[in-house]
Amino acid sequence: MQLTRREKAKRRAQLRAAALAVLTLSAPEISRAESRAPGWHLEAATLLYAERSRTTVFEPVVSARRTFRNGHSLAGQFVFDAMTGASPSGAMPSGAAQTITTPSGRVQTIHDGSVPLKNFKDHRISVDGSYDLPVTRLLALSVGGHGSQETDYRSKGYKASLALDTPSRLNTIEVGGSQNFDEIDPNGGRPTPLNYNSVKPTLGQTTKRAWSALVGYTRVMSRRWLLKANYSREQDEGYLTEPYKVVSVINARTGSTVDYRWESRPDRRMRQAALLSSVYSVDERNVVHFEGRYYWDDWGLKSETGDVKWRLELDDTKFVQAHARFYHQGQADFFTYGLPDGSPLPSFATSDYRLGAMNSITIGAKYGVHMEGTGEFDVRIEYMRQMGDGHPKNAVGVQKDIDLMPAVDIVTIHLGVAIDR
Amino acid sequence: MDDQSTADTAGTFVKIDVRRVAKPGELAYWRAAFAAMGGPCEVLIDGPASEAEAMRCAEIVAGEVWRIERKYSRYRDDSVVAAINGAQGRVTEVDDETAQLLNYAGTCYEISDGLFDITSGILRRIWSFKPESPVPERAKIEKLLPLIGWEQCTWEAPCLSLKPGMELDLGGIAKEYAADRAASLSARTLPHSFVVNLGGDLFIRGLRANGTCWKIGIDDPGRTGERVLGAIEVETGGIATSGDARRFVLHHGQRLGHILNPKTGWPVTDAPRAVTVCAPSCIEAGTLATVAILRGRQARKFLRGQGVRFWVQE
Repeated sequence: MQLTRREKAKRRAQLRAAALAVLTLSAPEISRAESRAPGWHLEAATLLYAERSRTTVFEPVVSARRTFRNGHSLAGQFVFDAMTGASPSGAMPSGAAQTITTPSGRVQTIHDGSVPLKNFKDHRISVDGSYDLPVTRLLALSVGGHGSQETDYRSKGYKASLALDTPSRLNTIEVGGSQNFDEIDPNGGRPTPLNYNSVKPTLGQTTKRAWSALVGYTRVMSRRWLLKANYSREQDEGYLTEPYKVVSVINARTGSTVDYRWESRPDRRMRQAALLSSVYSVDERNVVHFEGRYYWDDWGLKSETGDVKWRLELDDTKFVQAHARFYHQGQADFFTYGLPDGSPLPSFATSDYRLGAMNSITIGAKYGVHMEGTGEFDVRIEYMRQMGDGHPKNAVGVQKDIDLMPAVDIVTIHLGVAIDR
Repeated sequence: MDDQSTADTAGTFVKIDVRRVAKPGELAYWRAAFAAMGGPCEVLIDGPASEAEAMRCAEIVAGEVWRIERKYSRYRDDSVVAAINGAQGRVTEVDDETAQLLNYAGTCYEISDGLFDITSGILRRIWSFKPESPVPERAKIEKLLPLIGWEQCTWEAPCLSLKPGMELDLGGIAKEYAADRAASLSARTLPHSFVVNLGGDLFIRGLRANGTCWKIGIDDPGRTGERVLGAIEVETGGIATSGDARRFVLHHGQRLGHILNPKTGWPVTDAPRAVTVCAPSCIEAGTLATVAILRGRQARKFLRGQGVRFWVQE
């Protein structure tokens, strides 16, 4: 077909104009176009956590995420916890029968050398929501809030974070912060710290607040290797004591328990943690995760965690994952195995095993199946052994003959289903 | 950290290799190589840039090219193209960027009298273009022809619907578009001159530090990769080549190139072996080069008067 010179020029101008239109699109316009596939992502899971002869937690979780066409997404999660069993009261095993009162006035007697436990039954309901919105192609904002309720504890908080990608998407910088408000209203009243356990609590409900900040950096090191580092800092203020836990008062010579006092903790705590994690894809089927974490706070508690996961894709639809975790923590400055009778009282004292020196080992396995269509099912089983220092150097008298912190065995079973549509 | 999601995406991390190229008597430059869009890609960054600047420029270029590849690849089932092709006659609502590309494709169709057609990719099902591979039967071609033709699509931005069975392929535009986009993004941060080369589709930006142009070699289609026919010097603009010496079939002693006429379903006959065009943008250069080949014997005539530099290799 022969074109006139004028027709040719007109067509060329048309092409130029169309090219300019497509090439002058601004970044935000393109970022709006960038989006996760719109639709629903639904998850349902059940977790069963059992410490041998202690706490059992049954926790069903339902969550949903709705991604919109503009790339924004809204997510919500609902968790129900049913907790039953017994947790250590803080009193030391003494080799003799022990009688401890709870804030609600119940008297409990423990025989022999076992760890005094306090029976409890509670449930917790927690809801969590977040909204993610891409601001530009490289900058994403996420805001969220949560609330939870137990019979004696209420918590609410909000959080926000910003993630910035470099244009290559090889580097991501993240900053975030959160704030939390808790109300604590112990059953039977709140005891006066370090008062005798036999004195009925007289204090009422109280509060706790927390602020946290996080900075993180993620880098794609190579086609197979992803590295991430972050630092977080949290400031807690308010009532940080455990209202149901006691400290044994011991005879400084014989080590036998003569009385109990309510525990006492500072009303401020600054916690910091540094985390380094790496994901390495060995080949198309094998992925190895490593995570190292160092934690320290101004209560003198320090801990180190090493966590390794190895995931093997069995075929296009199934995978298995092995998991091992090693954890070590030192004890807090005011952790004690018993207050010597007759000595001046310290300002703070706790025998809560969670603030004592401890090692733990976790081993676990996970199996997942991508189901025909768009679903996924997984089952995870983990075993953890928690080992406190049951024979401390400063044990006195009969304490030397007893394991003050017997090892605790914990089994976790997790079943989950995810559906995309 | 949400380690599960990173595990799922492992194996898709990507790599850029940056090296300094210095030859005696020549101005040194940085060469960043990466793989995208089914082939090797590179960015050449003028010598005065620091290694960090070179890496940053390369990251911007590769990041944008990968983004466009993900979005418009017909080999990925999560791409926009896959969503459109999978709609089975239903309406697909597309984003602004895709809308502009479809408008551009519509213009190409119009100004080429229907020769440049993004719905003609379906012919690849029967034409493989491996040397010695047989020419498809006439009946098979006839069967596909009713499924080709941009005018059969209902396009009113942002809604597109294709007749069931039809397929869209933005392969003829996406690589050139990616070269332009990547270059314009990195030009915002890099003060130095550079070249983006996506497997032969290029965008060149600016004079080098010594005041000369980058020299872009033109491949001899008969001896591709071995001999360079000549060099093009461009200060700023896009260069694209259409025609490929390696992809053809022989039919009754006639050499059929890989560019198909969407109206006949048959390769363009008497077409030049390769056409290289230099235009203000790579996307225009690519379109003009392809339309020129589709015009067959009229290629040169078509290119004259377009206001662009071109090289036709018979």
